[in-house]
Order: sequence, then C-alpha cells, then structure tokens
Amino acid sequence: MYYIKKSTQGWECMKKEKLKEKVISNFKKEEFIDLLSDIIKIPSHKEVDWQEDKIANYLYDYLKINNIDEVKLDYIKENRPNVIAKIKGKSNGKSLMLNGHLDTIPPYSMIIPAYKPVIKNGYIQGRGVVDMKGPLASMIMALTLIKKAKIELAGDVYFTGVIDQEQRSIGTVNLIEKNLKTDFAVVGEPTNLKICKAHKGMEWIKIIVKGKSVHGSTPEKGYNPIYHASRIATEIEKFNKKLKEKVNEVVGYSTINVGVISGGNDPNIVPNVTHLEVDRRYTNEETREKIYEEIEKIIAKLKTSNPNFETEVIPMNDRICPLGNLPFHNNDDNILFKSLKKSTNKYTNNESEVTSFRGWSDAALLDNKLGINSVIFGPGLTEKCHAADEKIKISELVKAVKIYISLIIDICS
Amino acid sequence: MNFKDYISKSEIIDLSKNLIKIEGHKKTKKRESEVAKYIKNLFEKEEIKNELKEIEYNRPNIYGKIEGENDEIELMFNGHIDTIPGFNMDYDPFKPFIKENKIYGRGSADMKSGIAAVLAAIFAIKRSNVNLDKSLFFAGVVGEEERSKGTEQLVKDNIIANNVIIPEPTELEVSITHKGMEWIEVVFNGKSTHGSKPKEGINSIYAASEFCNIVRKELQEKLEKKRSPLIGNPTINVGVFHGGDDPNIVPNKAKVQIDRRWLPSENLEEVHNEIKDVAQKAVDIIGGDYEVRPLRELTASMINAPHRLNKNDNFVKETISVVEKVTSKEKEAVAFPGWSDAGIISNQTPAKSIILGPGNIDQAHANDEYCDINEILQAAEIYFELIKKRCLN
Repeated sequence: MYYIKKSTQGWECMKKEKLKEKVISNFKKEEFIDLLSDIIKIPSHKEVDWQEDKIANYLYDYLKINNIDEVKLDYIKENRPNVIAKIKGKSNGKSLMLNGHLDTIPPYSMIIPAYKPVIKNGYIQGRGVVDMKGPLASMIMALTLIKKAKIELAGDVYFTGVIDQEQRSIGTVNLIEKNLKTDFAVVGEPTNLKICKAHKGMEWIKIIVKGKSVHGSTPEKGYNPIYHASRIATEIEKFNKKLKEKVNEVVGYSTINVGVISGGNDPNIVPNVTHLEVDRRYTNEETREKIYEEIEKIIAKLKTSNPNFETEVIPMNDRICPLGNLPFHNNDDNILFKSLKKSTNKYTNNESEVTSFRGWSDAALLDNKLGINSVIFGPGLTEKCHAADEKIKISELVKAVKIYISLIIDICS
Repeated sequence: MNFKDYISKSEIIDLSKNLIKIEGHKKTKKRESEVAKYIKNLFEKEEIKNELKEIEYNRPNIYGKIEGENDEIELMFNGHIDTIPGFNMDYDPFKPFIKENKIYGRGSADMKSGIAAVLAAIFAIKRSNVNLDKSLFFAGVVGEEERSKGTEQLVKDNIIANNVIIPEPTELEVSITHKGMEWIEVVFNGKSTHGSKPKEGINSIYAASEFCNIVRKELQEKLEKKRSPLIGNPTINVGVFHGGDDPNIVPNKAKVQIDRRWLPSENLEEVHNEIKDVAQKAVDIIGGDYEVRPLRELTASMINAPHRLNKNDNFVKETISVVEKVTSKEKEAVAFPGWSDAGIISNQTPAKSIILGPGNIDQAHANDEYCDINEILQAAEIYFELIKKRCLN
C-alpha cells in the first residue's frame, strides 16, 4: 500500500505541476498592466462620493467578460458593494478564498500623481498600488487565467473584493454575516511575498475625563481635566514600557499609544472635559476584556488620589470593526503554507519566510469568525502602504500571479 | 438732589433687559454695532452729546459726554459693550427674564447691568439740569472680551480722564487692583511614527503631559509662594491641550495654551522664563523640543497688564464712603479677581481706576448668568453720587 500511495502522490504532483505551467503559460504581461492601470485610475476611498462603487463595477465587468462562473455585487450600503466571484469546483474538494480590499486611503500629501499609473524603473506607482490594488490585480489575473485554461477544479475558488478595510472592515464583516465559509483563505495584503501567519489585535479606546469648569483666573476653584488626562497619558506611557517586557515569539510585544488628546477651547477657562484616544495592539495571549481591565486599573489607581475627576473608558466603536479588530494567529502548518512556501521558493529564488504581519488585516475576521484557515500573503513592501510615494515592483506582482495560480491548483484541484 | 426723583426702578431694569436683548459678541455679524446704536439713541433722546467711533467694521465705541465748566474729564465710566457668545446657556441667552429679583441673560453680570446702571446715573444727572463743574464722560467700548481694542482706541485717541470707574461685576465692592493676564502657547515637537511602533517615535502628547504634570506639581506651588496681600498669588491655568489626529499615529505635535495671571511685582520675561523651564524639564524626560510664544493675536496689543491703585488714594476713600452710604455696609478696598480694561488705562494713562459694579464675577460667563436687581439699583445710585462728588465743586 505504501508504495502505491507514494507513486500516486508523485503522479498527482507531476500532474499539478503541469497544470500550473499550462495556466501560467497564458499569462500576458500587457494584459495584466492594463488591468492594474485601469483600477489605479479609479479612486476608491472615503473622500470620493462613489466610494468603492466604481472599482467594484469595473471588476464585476472584468470578471464577467472573463467568464467567471458566478459574479455578483453585494451592496452593503449605497455606493459600497463587495464583489464576490466564484469558480465552481466539480466535487467536494477543498475550497479557497482570495480576499482583497477595494478601498484605499485618500491621496493625502502624496508626492506623486495619485491616480496616474506611471511605470518607472520596473515599478508602477499611484495611491493604493501596494495597499492593495497591485495584489488585487494579481489575484484577479490568477483567477481569470485558471478559468481560461478550462481546468477542472475539485473545490470552489472564491474571490472576495471587500470594501472598507481601511476603516471598519464592514466588507469582510458582511462575508461573515453571509457565512461565506471556505476551507482556506489568502488575504492579499502586501507582505513582500512573505507568509504571514499572525498579527496583533488592535483596539481603539477613548478615555473621557470630566472635571469641573471654572474661570481660568481662579483655577483653584475647579478641577482641570487636562491635568488628570496628563496623569493618565504619563501612566500609559509607563505602561507601554512594561508591555515591552513581555514578548510573544511570533508577533513581538504589545503596545499602547496615546494618539490624540483634546481638551479646552480657551486658555482662560478650566475646561470640563478632556479626552484621550488610545491605540492598543495586543497578542492572542491577551483578551479585549483584559485590555480594558488594565486601563481601568490605571485609572482607578489615579482616582484614589484624585477623587474629583470622573473617567469613562469606551471602545471607539464608530472607528473600529464592529466585530472587534482581533488578533490573528494561525499555527497550522498545512497545505496552504506548504504550497506558498514551495512556489515562493520556485518563483522568487528566495527561501520563503513565515513571519507576522505588521498591521491589522481581514484575516483576523476570516480566521476568528468563520474558522477559515487563513494567511496573509501578497506582493509589495508593507512599509510602502500609505506612503507618499506608494509604488510596487511589477516583477513581484507577476510572481504573485504565479504563486496564487499554484495555490489554487494545489488546494482546489 | 435725589437720584430717585429722576429715574424709576423700572426704567433701570428695562435698560438692563434691553441691553441684554441686543446681541453684541464675536459670533454675530453685527458685532457690537447694535448695542452702540441703542445707547446712541438713548443719548440723543436725553440730549446728551455723543459720538460713535468706529474702530473696525461694525465695531464702534460709543461715547457720551456732559461737559462741565472745565473741559478736562474728571470722571469717566468705562464699560465694555460686548459680551461672550451665548454658548451653552441653560436658557435662551438673549431673552432676559426676572426670577427672585434677579435678571437672567447673557451679559446680565458681565456687564450690561453695569452699563445700565451707569446710563441711569448719567440720565438722572442730565435730567436734574444741574450744571457740572467738571466734565463727565461715558465710554462704551468694544472688544474687552477679546483684545480690548475699544479701550486701546481711547488711549490712542488721547481720551484721558482723571478718574475712571469700570462697572465690571464686583458685587459693589471697591476693587483697586487686579492681576495681569498673559496667554502663552507651548508647542511640543516630537517625532511621528505609526502607532503600532510607539518606541520608534517621540510622542509629543507625552511631553506636553509631563509639562502639565510639572506645572501642577512644581510651578503652581512656586506661584502660591508669591502671594501678596490683597491681590493674592499669581495663577496658571492650562486651558487648552490638543495633539494628534488618529489613535494609530504617534503625533509629532502637541500644543498647550496657558492663561497666566501675574502680579504687579512680576514681569513678563520672568513669566515666560518659568514656562520655558518647565517645558525644558518635560522634553528632558520625553525627548523632542518645544517653542514658547505669547498668544498676542488673542490678547491686547498693549499687554493685559496688572492694575494697582493705592488704597489711600482720595478717589478710593471717597468711593468707599459713597458705597457705604448707599449700601449701608462697611467697605474696604479689595482686589478684582479677573482682568479689566483698568489694566490698560492705569498703565497707559495717568488715570486712577476703580472697578465697581453690580453682579457677581462668578456669574460672568456662567451658563446661568444673572445679576441681582438690588445691586443694579444701588450701583446706579452710587454712580450718581460719585458724579455729584467728583463733577460738582
């Protein structure tokens, strides 16, 4: 039995490699550049009226023209649709989701034209080319090439182009509400073609400090919440140092940062309220409850010596994901990892690295909420996300197309 | 010559209510112009010589004058005709009403009731047909709640009096001194980075927080030791603290704005140096650097200096005796807790200034601002008696 099984595996393997070559042989760089250039030209951020609508409709048409079996737009809000595409598998093989967000951040103070896809020295530039229109184009190209090659897949392949990842991730939240479950998922955020199996959770917390307002000429009659907020900020800074002592071997140490403080309008008034906005990054060894307990503890300690201030600690629900920006940890070394490692080695001549992702991604939602075995893997340097000179190497995008194709075949055929 | 023969209580109350009804603050397009015009019309009706002096568009001072034998101004009433905006008052700020013998409304204490009492006294004098020996002057000035441009104009135009009464709310206490007011901004510069790697940056909010901590723990204590009789100790208030736009960014800029009340015995250089020392300590702890500057664009260009008048001055003694007579209470000179245009007048001209008016300073700018009606009526009578004392031989 052992020998038979081994030889079957070997044959299967050879067949898959051939399939991959066949699909990849249809890749046309010009076609790919056209697709990418087109979507770079379409602004898709919170400051344009149409939000993600135009890019979603463009991709819908593109996928339709390329005969993808099922393509639909799921409108979550006006002008805000997810694009869901599916290549149907024939039998009960393993299914895979390629997930990428359609939105970008606004151009802000870019030093290059934001929506003009200029190619220079092997790079293509523009807002969102790294985060993540480049990776999106690679995913879509992989999908359409698979379809074009008319290969029979056993499991379903989904592409989910989701809205709102730069804000509250309501696009991927919608996938969860619709229970769009697959066996595996790749979130194509730029990882420089490294396999990211984990990242920290992110919690945004508002601390509201209330004091007693009086005229600024008699400050001793009031309780200045600015002073109490300063005490809290100082304690949070100390707490950040303490967090650094505890290192998680995958994602490093947790952090806390006071990013915003706001109190008062006039120098001559003791204001009655001041608020702090805090960004807390946490590992899967921590919980949201614990994070809040820690902050409440800091505040309670300060309160004993300063009883005249009222403090409220609340999650910034209007700015963060409604399901929580949970940590992501996938320790399951399965076919997803094996396939990505193998083809990364093959197409990049580099030993592929399994590491953690610097930011937060929708993989946390797919993994935690749908139980999908997920990784983050995409072309482009994470450091170039949101950069004033956002750009990505075209050769890396092409490698990503090949790696995604290989992954689809490894998992679904 | 009896005050009550020339003006009724109800007329004085109506004056106050009418003044409150007319908005005159930085949030209305018409600024102080409608208040000034209302007063001008009253002067016209009473046949009192008057003048509108426009300082900026829609921002006129209103002057009134009853001339004596001598053209020199013996007594000036200087009252600001602006108020702060309605903001979040507990009731409609510009619909005055009376409850338990108090007038409620924005400016009822600061200081439209004071203006009403002054006008009532001047009208009574005029109606009595008495010939003044020395000139009496009314200056309704703009912008005291901002940069005191109205009183600065008086100084620039050389309208100088021997004695000045400023009817800011003192609950009819004779106030002869107050602190100076300096507004200072400190900007802390750090180094911006992504909020998920805070150690790679310098968070300016932390530097500014340390600054606030040191102000509270060290500077405040130091200031309390500078206490002097009557005026008390200098104070400091951090009234504004802003930094950062997003939780996930380490902000490179945070600013605090400070209101520093300083004594006649201090000087501005000293005041600024103290702040710089604290800012330096804060950046020594956190890193980055800082800039300290006066918020001169928000305060008087002539400096909101302290005011001090000797309590043994004749004008003080005389004023105290008049107030004692009208209120039947013993009085002694006190300090005014706020800042007033006396800070400009007494530093820029030889005039002796006293701050004396109806209403409680705690009600100034309050969300339930009101003024006691008895105090308004007594203030009017006090002013009337003072005019008689000063302007009749």
